Amino acid sequence: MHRKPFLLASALASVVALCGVLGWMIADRAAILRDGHEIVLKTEPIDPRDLLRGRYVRLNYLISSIPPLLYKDQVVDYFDSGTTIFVRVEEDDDGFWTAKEAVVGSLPDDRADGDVWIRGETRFRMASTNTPAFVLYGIERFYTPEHVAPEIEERMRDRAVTEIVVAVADDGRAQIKALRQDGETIFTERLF
Amino acid sequence: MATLIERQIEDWEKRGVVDAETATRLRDDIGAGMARARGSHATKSARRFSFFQVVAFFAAISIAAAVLIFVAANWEYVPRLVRVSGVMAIVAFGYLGGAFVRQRFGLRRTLVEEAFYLVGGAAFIGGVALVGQMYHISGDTRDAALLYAAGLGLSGFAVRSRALVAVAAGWITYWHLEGPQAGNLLSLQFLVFAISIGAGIAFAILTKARWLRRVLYLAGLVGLVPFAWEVLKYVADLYDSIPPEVRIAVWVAIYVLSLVAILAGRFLPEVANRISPLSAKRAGGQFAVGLLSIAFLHGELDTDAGLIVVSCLAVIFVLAALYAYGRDRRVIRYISYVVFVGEVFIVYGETVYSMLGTSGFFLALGLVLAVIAFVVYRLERLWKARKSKEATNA
Repeated sequence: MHRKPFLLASALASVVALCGVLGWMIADRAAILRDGHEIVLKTEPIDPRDLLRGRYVRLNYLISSIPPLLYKDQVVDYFDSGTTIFVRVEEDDDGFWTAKEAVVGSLPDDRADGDVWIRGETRFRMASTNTPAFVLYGIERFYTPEHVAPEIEERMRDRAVTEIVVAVADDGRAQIKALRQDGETIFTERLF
Repeated sequence: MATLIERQIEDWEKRGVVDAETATRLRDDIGAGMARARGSHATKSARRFSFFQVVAFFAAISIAAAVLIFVAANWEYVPRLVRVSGVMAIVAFGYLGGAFVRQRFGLRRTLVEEAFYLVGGAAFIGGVALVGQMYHISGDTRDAALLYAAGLGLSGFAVRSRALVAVAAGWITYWHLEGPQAGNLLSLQFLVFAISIGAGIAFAILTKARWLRRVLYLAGLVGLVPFAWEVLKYVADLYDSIPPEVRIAVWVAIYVLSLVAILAGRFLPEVANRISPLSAKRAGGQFAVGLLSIAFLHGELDTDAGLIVVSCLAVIFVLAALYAYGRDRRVIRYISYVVFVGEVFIVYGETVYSMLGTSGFFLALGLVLAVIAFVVYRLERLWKARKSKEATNA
């Protein structure tokens, strides 16, 4: 092609659009951190030898597996991988939040004001009626600065209780806010 | 001072490629051009400019390297917003730099231009990863792939960069293949994939980029593989549900028909030409269908007597094909040889092998292959001789 009319304008528009996407992602996440409902989740070690993957710690939560008992109304025979599931979490006496109820598809309309619903997706195609579903919430990774990572990993290996503070937006999207071990805050996310 | 072009013109003039008048006019034009350039001091300043350009280029590289090393060493301490801003600056540098190169150098630096766009696109991908890391987003690679494809593809269309569009095609194909509906042509997922690839092909046609068009065809084909696989599985299931007797009967009928067609087409042309499927023009197709029926019969009857029978049918078929078309159709001839040798292998492997033991088997096999080679050699010579005789007669 010999001529490219409006090239500079197009390049400028591309830059604005691409940087806009990045900026929007940041603003969106910051909004969840700022306005989201704060809950505390307890992590369960997946495989103590394989906590660190590259530069992030893999996290597994109590709510990562949702037993069939919790489903409200609908009973489907199986989930396709990537089925959207909303899980209602509630604070227990020990301060940790656990799953109390789950629905497939979309947020229930009759939810009460104080309820916190968190949005997840099933991980595999699986039967739903007799086995717990593995659900991903998009908060399964914790990226750590290199000098902190080994310390966190060691404590997790020593079975120190690792708690993750999560902000949950009204639409159910979750965002990690802080990582605490034995009540001590190791890492807090800034807004930006 | 004779420049290269002036010496060339002299040479052309000597060898009579151009006449004296043209040569003079060409020389005058060069002289005028140089005079114009000298008049505005352009040559001198251009030379000085390019010297500065080189120095500036080295300086820029040194500074960039220093900055990169510094940033890498202190990455943890760089505020996150600064990091993101840096990535955005690289995006801007890439796209605007590419556009600048295009306007400054036109078509002479298309590679450099594309390289700039690629740097910008790569920075965008890096930026998305960086934001994911900042907010611990563990979202799956597939969502990211769609974002990359949209970002690079649309911006690639905007700045008309083939490289960006090609990279975007790769991401969208990955997104499609990894998706849950990869084998379903009626899904939204496939629609998105098809429209994306279609847009890319349209872009490639408009910009007359042949290699990009091929890349996109390839991406489209790769995207269709899961569907083809589903179809194959479905057809195989369907086939398995037919009772074996029926399957064998149908394949034997097809075998007989193709055998008859081959012989009729060659030896009864007046009959065959009236029924077009039998005509000699279709010999290749008849041969292929016959081999197909043999292959399926092998699949149905793969033990003992059944195997021997099918192998006999196969040998009869290739001998008939050789008899009818061996001389005129080279493709049929060589495929027939291969099939014949293959059948011999199969029958030997199944029957004689167990009787002879390994070494005896290979000895016998060697003898049989030698006989086949001898027969083939004689046949070829015979046909060659006949053909050359016909040629001299004609």
